[in-house]
Amino acid sequence: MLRYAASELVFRSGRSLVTAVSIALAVLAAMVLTSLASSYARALRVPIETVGADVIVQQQGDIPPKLEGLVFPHPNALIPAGIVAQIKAIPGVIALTRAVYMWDLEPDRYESVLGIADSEVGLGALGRRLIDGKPIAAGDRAVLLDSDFAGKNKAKVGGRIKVGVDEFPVAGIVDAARSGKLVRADVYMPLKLAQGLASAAPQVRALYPFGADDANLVLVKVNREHLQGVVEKITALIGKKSVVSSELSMRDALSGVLFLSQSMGLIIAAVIGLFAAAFVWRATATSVAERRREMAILQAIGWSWRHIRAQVLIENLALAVIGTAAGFALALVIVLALGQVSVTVDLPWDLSATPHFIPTAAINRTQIITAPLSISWLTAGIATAGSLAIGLLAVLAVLALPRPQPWSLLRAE
Amino acid sequence: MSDTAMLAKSAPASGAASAQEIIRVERVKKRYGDVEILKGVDLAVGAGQFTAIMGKSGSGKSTLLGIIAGLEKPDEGDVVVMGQKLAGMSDNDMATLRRRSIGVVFQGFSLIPSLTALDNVMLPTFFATETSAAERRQRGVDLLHQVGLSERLHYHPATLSGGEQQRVAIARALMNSPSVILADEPTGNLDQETGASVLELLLDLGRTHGTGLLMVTHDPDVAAKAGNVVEMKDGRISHGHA
Repeated sequence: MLRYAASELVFRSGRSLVTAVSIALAVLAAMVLTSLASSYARALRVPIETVGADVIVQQQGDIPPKLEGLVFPHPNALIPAGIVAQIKAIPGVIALTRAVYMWDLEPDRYESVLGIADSEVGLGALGRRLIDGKPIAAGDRAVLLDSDFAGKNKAKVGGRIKVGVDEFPVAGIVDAARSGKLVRADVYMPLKLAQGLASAAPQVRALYPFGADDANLVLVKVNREHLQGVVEKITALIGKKSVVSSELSMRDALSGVLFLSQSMGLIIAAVIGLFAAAFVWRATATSVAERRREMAILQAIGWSWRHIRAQVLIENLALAVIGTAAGFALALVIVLALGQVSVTVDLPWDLSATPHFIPTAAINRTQIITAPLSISWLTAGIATAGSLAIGLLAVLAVLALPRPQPWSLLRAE
Repeated sequence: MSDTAMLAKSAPASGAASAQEIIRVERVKKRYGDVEILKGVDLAVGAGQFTAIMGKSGSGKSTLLGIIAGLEKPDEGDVVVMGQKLAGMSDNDMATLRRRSIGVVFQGFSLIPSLTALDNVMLPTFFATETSAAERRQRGVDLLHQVGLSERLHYHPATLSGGEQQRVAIARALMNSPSVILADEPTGNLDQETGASVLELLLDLGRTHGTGLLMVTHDPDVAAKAGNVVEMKDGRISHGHA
C-alpha cells in the first residue's frame, strides 16, 4: 500500500503539491506567528523582570514645598502599611517587598536612596551583587553603594556617606546593573533605616503622614495566572493615583501591534489552518472524484471499502507529514533568520535614579527591549496534530459521501 | 450460421465440463428506476467451463455479470458463488470472496494509471499474508511473461497499447488463481486482430490454470469458442444451457 501511495502521490503531483503546500503554510503560520507572539510577550516581561518583580506598585504624589534634603520623587507617594497588608492578602500574591525610594537633594550633590526589605529582590539581591565589602542585614545601620556612584564620588568601603542629615558607614559596593532584578539607586540601606529617615524628613512630612512602617514602593511577586486580577485589585485598592506597572501595562502601551497578542497569533494561525483544511478537502474531493473508477476497479479485484479508505488515508497522511515537515523546516529557517524581536517602549513606571529637574540629567524612559525567537515545541506538537487532523478529516469527510456503485462505473453496456 | 444454431453448438473449450457448480443464479431480478433489467434469471456455471452470455445492448447481460461479481445487488433472487450466498455478506467478506475466487476483466481499460504493469498485476495480492512479497512478485512476473509482456514489467499503462493493457488486466485477473474469471466484453475496445489474440490468451490461460470463464460478449465468433452459450433477451435467458 505504501508503494501504491508513493506512486499515486507522484502521479498526481499537482494535487500532492497543493495539499502539501497548504499544510506547510498552515504549519509555517502557526509556528512563526506563535513564536513571534511568545517572543514579544517575553520581551515585554524583560523590563519588569529587571526590577525583580511581576508588579511594581507606586502612587502619584505632590511636589514638596521645597526641593531640599530627603524628598519622595513625584511618583512615589506614601503607601500606608495598611494598604500594603491588604495587597499581601490578595489571592495570587506570592510575595511582597516593601521599599522606600527617596532623592537626597543637597546644594552640592544629589543621590537616590533605596531602603528595601530583606527579600529575594531586596537586601538578598544586593548581597549577590556585592563586589567589595560585606552585605548588610535588616537591622544594620550601614549602607551599600552602587559601583558607578561610588566611583564618581570616590567613596570606598569603610568610609562614610551622608544621607540627609545623617552619616552612615559604607559596608560594601554593589554592581547593581549586573543581571538586573533590582531597583537601581545610588545608595542602598535596610528598610527600617530608610523608614526612619523618611518619617523624620521635613519635605516628606510636609506632604505625607509617613509612619515608621509605611513605604512608597512595593514590589509584588504574583502567580502569573492571576496577574490581571491582582493588578486590577491593587489599582482599585490604591485608587486613581495608583501607578501599577506590570507586563500588562507594556501590552496596553503597544496594543496596536497585533503580534503582541499570543491569542491573536493563534487565531490568525487557526484561520490560515481553516483555509488549508478547505484546500486539502477540495484537493482530496477532486482526487477522489477523479479516482471513482479506480476505486471501483479496486473493489472489483478484491479490495474492501476499508482497504480503499486506508489507502486514501495513507496518501493524505503522507502529504500531511511532508507538508508538516516542510512547514517546520521553513519556520525554523525564518526563526533563525529573524533571530530576535525588538520592541521600543516607554516604561510605564518611574524609578529614575536621577531627578528629572536636575539640569544635567539625561533621563530616557524609552527602552529598546529584545527577546530571542524560538520555536515552541508545544506549538509544534499542536501544529503536527492539526495538520494530521486536516488530512484525516478531509479523507473521512470525502469518503463519508455516498459510495459509488462500482458496477455502474465498470460495466460495458 | 444462425444464432440458434450457434447457441446449439456446445463444444467445451476448456475440456470436459466439471460437474462441480461454482456459480448459481436463481430468480434474480433487477430494476433501474422504472425499467426492469432482469426479470427472473436462473443460471448455473460449472467449474472450468467457458460460458458466454450473449444478447443485445440493454438485455441485462452486463448487469447479471455485475450481480454475480457482487458489485451490484439484485432486487430479488439469490446468487451463490463458490458455495457462498452473496445476499447478506459483509463488504469485507464479499471483498475476500472476490479476491480469492473471482478474477475480473472489463471492456474499458481498467489498470491503475499510477502503477506499473507489474504493480497492477500484484494489486489483488496487496493484502495477502500466506505468500511472501518475493513470491507474489515472482508470480506477477511469471504471469506477465505468460501474457507476453516480460519486457513491459515496469511500464505504466499510458505507455502500453490497448491490447497490452488488456493482457495486463488478464494477468491481474489470474494473479490469485481464481476459480472463475468474469469478463465483460473484454475485446470490445480492441481491433479485431488484437481482440482475437487477447481472447485466445484468455482461453489458453483459463485452460492452463483450470479457471472457469463467464464472458459477456456481442461477438458470435467469440461465443463460438464457448462450451456453453446463453442468450439474454428482455431481462430473461431465452436460449442456451443454463
